[in-house]
Amino acid sequence: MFALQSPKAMSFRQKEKMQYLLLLIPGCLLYGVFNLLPLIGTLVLSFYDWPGIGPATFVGFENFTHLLGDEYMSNQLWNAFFQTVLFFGICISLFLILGTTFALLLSWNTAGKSAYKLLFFMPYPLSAVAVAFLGQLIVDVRGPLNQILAHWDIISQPLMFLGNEDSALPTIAFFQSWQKLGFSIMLILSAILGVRSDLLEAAVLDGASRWQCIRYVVFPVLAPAFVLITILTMVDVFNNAEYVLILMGPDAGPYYSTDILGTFQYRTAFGTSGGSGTANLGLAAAIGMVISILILPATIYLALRNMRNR
Amino acid sequence: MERIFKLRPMEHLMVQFLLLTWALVVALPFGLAFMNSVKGNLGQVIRSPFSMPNEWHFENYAIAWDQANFSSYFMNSLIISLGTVALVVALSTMVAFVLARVSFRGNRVIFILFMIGVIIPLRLAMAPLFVVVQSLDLLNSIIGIILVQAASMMPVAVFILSTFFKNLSPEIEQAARVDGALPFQIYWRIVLPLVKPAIATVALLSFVSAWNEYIFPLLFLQDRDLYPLTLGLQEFQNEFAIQWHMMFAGLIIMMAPTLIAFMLASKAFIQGLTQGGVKE
Repeated sequence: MFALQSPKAMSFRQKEKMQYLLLLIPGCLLYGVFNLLPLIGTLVLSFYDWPGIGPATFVGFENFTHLLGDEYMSNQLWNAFFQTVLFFGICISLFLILGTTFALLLSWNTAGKSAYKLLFFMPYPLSAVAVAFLGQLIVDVRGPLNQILAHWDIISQPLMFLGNEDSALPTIAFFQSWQKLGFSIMLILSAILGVRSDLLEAAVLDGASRWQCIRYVVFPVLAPAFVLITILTMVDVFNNAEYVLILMGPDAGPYYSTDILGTFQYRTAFGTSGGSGTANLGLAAAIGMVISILILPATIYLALRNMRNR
Repeated sequence: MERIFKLRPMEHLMVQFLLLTWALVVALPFGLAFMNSVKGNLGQVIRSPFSMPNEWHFENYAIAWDQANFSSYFMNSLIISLGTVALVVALSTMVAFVLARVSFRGNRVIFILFMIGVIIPLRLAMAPLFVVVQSLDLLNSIIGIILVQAASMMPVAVFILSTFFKNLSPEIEQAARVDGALPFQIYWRIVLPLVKPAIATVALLSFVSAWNEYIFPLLFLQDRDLYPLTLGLQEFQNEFAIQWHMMFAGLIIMMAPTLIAFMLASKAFIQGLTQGGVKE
């Protein structure tokens, strides 16, 4: 009886199934080919030696031992790792300290609150390229910042913010923090405003001062927001090297002083800007794996949080 | 309550002072960029960056736009971003609809596979991604870059939308089904109109991230005619780095669309981008 059915006379159930499949497949295909496959490919490729063209040879854990054992490579890896941590440290301290300060200030009834909120968030949606070049001009040796510092007699000689090995990385971290602080302010602010007013009222009735209210009622509620900001910033800084690539190129100058894990991976995969380095996609995939493992605790936390909130 | 959120005059002054300081730190770079973008030459910019220009040279913008090919960069950015938004919105609503509303074997597995994309950034897989794009012969093509950027947005989009779909009550849908409506009709006529706010969030998020993306175009586009604004601005910088007034004009051209859009829909931007950021 079923065999006699022609395709035209599909039952309602069959038609329904067909249509569900047609809705599901295109999106899965797009995601699968251009996102999931490369993610899985990172794992596979990290066990191969492959310059990008020609045959790939299976080398087992050689990429990883090369990365950690070879002096030239492991020096770069550790240099990039510590500088990533420094970059992260600068961003997260600014986000938490300034973010909490301005969120608290904005939570009080003061004039121009919504205008401030708007302004503080304004740099966030801009592209990193624009912010990086804007910052570069402002901190230039002959630029406005140096002029104002000299005018106020804070410095006697212009500072080479981006040209100096010691200050280049912190300067870039400041650019990124300047752009992204608004995000942290908004997140902390919404946590503050979410503090249940009956709790605050009870605290006030019990004779708590304003500072005590902040310290014992508001701050404990902020802890989850702090954790969230820390983790998001960590994932961002560990995988995203836009600013350094834009301003310093894959060589992360001066003398690798701005090299972070993202630029190290980029340079290994696609060579230096001068074209002197050799492309090594297998080794780059191994670096990708190392970074993934470093941020794994953070990403697992995010995943669990997302699953719970679903 | 009152005592906590209301301020005495002195305190008010203090709060305003701190807020104004940061407002200045945020606003000053924009102000400097604009003021100096209309100055006549580099000398004026360097001599007195904080003063108003004595003559307003708006032609700097025209020169930047014409000489530096900005019109072509701008069109490319627009095509890439709109293509990405269209693809992400269409495909992610379809996937999220099925995943959230139909129970079938493998549903959970597919959802978890999408979650992997939410938590591991695609940039970490740049080497294999390059291989995929190369072997599909999509290097140096706008289509290729749209596919990659759309794919990188899919997990977050599916995630945001499926949360939304889950919260819809299934009754109307079931009634429609009893009346013989097929999934296509239910998706198009009933479910989509109900999740418009979530679609707006997803569209905004994908547009902003596609418009601002630097790394993927850098990896996959070699032809200058295909460059979006992000790469174009870098080309511009190579050419005009020493002519600061032109550089500032180029920066303003690059930032203006985003800033205008932000002013017009600041609430949507703040909400959407904060939400999207949290889901990353």
